[in-house]
Amino acid sequence: MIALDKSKRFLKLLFFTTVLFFTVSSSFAQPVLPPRTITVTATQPLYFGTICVNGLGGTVTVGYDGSRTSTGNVILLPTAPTSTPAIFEIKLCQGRNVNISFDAFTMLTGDNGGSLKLEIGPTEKGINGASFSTNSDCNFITPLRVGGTLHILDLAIPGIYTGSFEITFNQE
Amino acid sequence: MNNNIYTGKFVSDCMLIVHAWLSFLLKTLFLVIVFCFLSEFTLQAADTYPDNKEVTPLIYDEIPIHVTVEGYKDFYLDAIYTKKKLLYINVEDLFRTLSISCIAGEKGNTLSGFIENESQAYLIDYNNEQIKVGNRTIYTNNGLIKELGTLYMESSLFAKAFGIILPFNYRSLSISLKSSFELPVIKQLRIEKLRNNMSRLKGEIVADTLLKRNYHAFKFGTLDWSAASSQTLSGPTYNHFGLGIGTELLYGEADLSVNYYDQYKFDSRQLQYLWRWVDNDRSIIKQAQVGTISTQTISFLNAPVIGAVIRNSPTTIRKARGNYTINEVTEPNWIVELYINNVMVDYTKADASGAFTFKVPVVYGYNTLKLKFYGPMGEERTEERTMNVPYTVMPAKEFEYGLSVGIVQDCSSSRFGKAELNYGVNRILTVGGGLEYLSSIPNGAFIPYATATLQPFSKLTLNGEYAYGVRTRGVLDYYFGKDALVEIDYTKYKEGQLATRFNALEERKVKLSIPFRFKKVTLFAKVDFTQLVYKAFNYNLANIMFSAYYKQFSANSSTQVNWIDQRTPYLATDIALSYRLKNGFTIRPSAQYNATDNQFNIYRVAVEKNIRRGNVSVSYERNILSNDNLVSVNFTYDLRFARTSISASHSKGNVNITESAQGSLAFGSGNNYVRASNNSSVSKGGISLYPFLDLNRNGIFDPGEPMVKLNTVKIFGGNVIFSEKDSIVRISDLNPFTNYILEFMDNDLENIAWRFKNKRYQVLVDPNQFKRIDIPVISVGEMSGMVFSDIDNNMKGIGRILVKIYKKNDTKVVAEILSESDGYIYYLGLAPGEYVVRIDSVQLRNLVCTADPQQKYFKIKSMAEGDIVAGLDFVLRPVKDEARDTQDIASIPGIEVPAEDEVKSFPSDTDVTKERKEIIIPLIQNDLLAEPARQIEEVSVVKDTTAYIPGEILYKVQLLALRSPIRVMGYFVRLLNDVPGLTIDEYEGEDGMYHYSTGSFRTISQAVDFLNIIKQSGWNECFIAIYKGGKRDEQIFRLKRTQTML
Repeated sequence: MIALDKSKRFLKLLFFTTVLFFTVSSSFAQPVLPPRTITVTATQPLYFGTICVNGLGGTVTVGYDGSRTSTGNVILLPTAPTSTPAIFEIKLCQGRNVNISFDAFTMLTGDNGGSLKLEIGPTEKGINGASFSTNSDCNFITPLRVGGTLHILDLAIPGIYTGSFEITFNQE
Repeated sequence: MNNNIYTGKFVSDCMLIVHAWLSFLLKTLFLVIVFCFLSEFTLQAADTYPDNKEVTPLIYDEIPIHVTVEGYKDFYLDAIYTKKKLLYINVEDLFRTLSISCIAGEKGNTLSGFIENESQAYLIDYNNEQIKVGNRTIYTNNGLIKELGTLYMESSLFAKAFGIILPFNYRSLSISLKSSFELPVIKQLRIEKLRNNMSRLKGEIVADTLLKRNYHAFKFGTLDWSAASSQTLSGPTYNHFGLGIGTELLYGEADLSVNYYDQYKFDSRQLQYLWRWVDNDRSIIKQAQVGTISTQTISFLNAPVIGAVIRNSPTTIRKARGNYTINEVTEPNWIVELYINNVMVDYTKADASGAFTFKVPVVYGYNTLKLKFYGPMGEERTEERTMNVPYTVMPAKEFEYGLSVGIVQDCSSSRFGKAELNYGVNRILTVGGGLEYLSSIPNGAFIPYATATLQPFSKLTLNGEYAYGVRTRGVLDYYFGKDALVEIDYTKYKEGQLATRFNALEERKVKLSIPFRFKKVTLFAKVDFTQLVYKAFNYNLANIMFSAYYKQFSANSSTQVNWIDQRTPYLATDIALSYRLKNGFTIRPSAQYNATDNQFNIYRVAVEKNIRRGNVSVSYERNILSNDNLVSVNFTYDLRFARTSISASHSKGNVNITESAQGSLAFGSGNNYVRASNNSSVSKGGISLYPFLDLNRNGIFDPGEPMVKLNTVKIFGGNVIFSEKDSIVRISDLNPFTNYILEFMDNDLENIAWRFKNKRYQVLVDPNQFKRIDIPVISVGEMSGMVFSDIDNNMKGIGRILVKIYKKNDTKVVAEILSESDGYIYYLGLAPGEYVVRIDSVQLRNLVCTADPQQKYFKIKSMAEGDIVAGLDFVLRPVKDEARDTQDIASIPGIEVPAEDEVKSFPSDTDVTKERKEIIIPLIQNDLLAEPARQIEEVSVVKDTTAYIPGEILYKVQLLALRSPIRVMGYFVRLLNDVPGLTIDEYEGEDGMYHYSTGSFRTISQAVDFLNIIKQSGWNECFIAIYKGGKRDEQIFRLKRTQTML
């Protein structure tokens, strides 16, 4: 982690988003999935890495493919790992259809009192409301990659930002 | 233009040659004359060498040679250039300059020592004409000569014997010295430089004055401010204001900062405060902090901690073995400085993409790392990042601890605590451990942990950590080749742990970085591979980076690829180029290519122009993914008191403008001056220097003592401010609780006679204030005189005579001077006091001469502009003359009796027919004959301070006697112009008269000759006065005068 000095020219933001827990696992006290054969586990968090902004805001996007791009006056720092997409493990027998839906936005909170808006998606299987069929054997998982776009306001507060989002999986 | 230069050089060369030939003819003529008249004297010298030597008289020029050595300062050597165009170098002079071991034999006929190392002992044997180096013996015919007791060696022999190549350029009278081995002086400089760096890192810098901290219960202070505003056309306006205050409170640093963002509700976390106290001289607690603390943790903290920390880790830097590497990114081409515990240890330049790498030295104990960034063209726009140190290394048998407690400012006000210990078991192993507590971890608030760091050799570091219930980690760093690094980092997490935000069960990392050069191209390659192991799959992430620099062009390529198990990988590449034009513009095109989709995600081009104190840039960016075109213009400008910037951008029909400014104020630097800066001042310190002329030399700035204007102060860090309004020198932007070395150079003072009483201060900087330091400057005196040789009553100035100055009644040498070629001696830098000046007795013995007088006393008074004492003259005479006057050599003051065999080896008249190799060296340099008399602009008469020996008879030329002393400067100007180097002594006789005389001789014949010289200048009213034991002796005077007249 990087401690940041707020008084300097560049505002530096470290975004760290933890992701949804929409699974049958009870150890995390998450909502219980519908009692069907589908099993979903939130495995990898969506991670934006470390960035700098220069007064003016912008966006930083981590695609479901793991690529990271920015707009506006956002500078991406390549501190490894630079970025990771969120990954869900879906365990469902082959050929079943799954529909995904999620809120378009969620808020991340900073350790110094700020907040940022996270736009969720798209996912590897499409945008909000997309349906796809699983292609794994019943004993194997289908990973679902999810990206996101972080909207950084002008004059954002430096700090470490974290939050969570939810995705609903409907077995059709 | 080239022709003109060439012509001028040609003429110059011609003149040089003509001059050299004239000089050569004159010298030859002189040598012949001297040979004829001084045959007795020269024959004596000749007999000191073996009879079987074939010796031919040598005709030569003595010339100074300019010597250049790569990596060392230029210097001059005495050399002899012969008619046969052979160059002979003063061996001892050269070897001593190069710090090569060189010991002269008892008779001055041998030089011995070693070259490169002790096994390469050498012996230069003049008598046997041979040079022995190790097992080799080199025989030389006419390769060694001797002048004035000094051994010279033909220049080509240096290469043959010692591997020291001395190519002589006659046109420029210079030598570009090269050697087949590392010269000791170069080695010394290299080692000294290393040691200096080590000293700096270890905080072990030698200073002559130590200034510790000044403690205050409260002292204000410094102030930081910042303001920014952002407006969007047809949108909201956001504002930000920041204020920081720095003080000293209860003997520690106390900082307070508050930030207000109008788009957010004010949160208590935007108010930060910290009290910090450091004392590296204490043993139990060296650091203490209260307030918003920062500490390295195993668990993830999502909010600041309010609490307290104590440590026994010093803030000084103690360098251990080895390094580790950090890779970061900033703006392209920026300079990045690396600070360890607030001391800069390295710097580098970011590449076209802004990437940079540091090889950070491993430093003992708990440390903080900080990076500072400076824009190109020295704009000094900085930002700071604080980084974690990957592992702790301790010196053997040393123990370090840290205790932290506090409340996390999260929604549940979690309690936090950490106790950490580190111990250096031996030189290669450090073990540590402790306990961390975070109440918000639901399944294990207590985390006991242990660490071990193994450094079997400097290029290999192994670090292991076990944190109960959280993770086990091992890191291996190995450097190979010049700067290549391979790092293997493995972490295994406890399943279900909630201390970190990491879900993976294992994290496997391998990193390889290799810098290399190909001709003029600098290249850097880096490969990172990370594998995150989850229950069901592995997520793999790799990054391959190449960067290259060639002159003003740089390029960077970074490819990221990630994949899950055997699935299709996703691949994207960033390419950045940079070219700096001669007119100051820099063009930076860049793009991101997504290989998976086979398309470019982003194109971007930026043009940047650095102006004095600022920067202008225009950029265009096309984002394919978001179908956006962004045009932005940025302008930054650094005012003296504020750093300002304005940016405007246009995207999707929106226009956005942002303005910002920030600066700081620092108070209390003296004379009601408020230091305004465009950089931060809070949590920094300063120094106010008050240089003053210490008239009473008590080291205290007393009322009435004037201040001295300084133009230069040497300090490692900070900004030095020389004010036009006062003589206070202010140094700002220093780090508190850190020792700085202040160095002063006497040459920088406006008066040549002034000296800094202390030249190197070690100052411990106080927080958030300017520390006042009075710098005493003292005035010193100068002495001057002449050294003459007197051979058969022929008085001429003589060069290269060693003159030593002692404190009165003390045997310690204060200063040593070599007389110049015309015999002039001069020394500046004598503190007020009484002194004795003498000719070096060893040299007198070698020259078989006596000095007249043996010594002189003089006094340097304390004066603001520095005292001047002139007329400290000496006359050297061959012992032979003394012997003629039937004086015993042993009884002559100022000469040590040579060993018996040396005395016996003096030649007899029968040797006159032998051919001799020895150069006929008169004590008087022949080139002085053609030298015009030195113009004396100012003359003073000095008190006769000759040290008389009871009963000793001296002959002087009395110029006049008066009832009252002369108080008019320049009374004897004309005489002194006609007879250069003359010293006039004032003697108050028992008759109440003031006698003015010159010269001091032991033989009447010398005095008569000198009398004639005086009379020839037109000063006819003079006569010889005789002194016995320092008093006029009229009886002897009459007797001798009668004899002379006869």
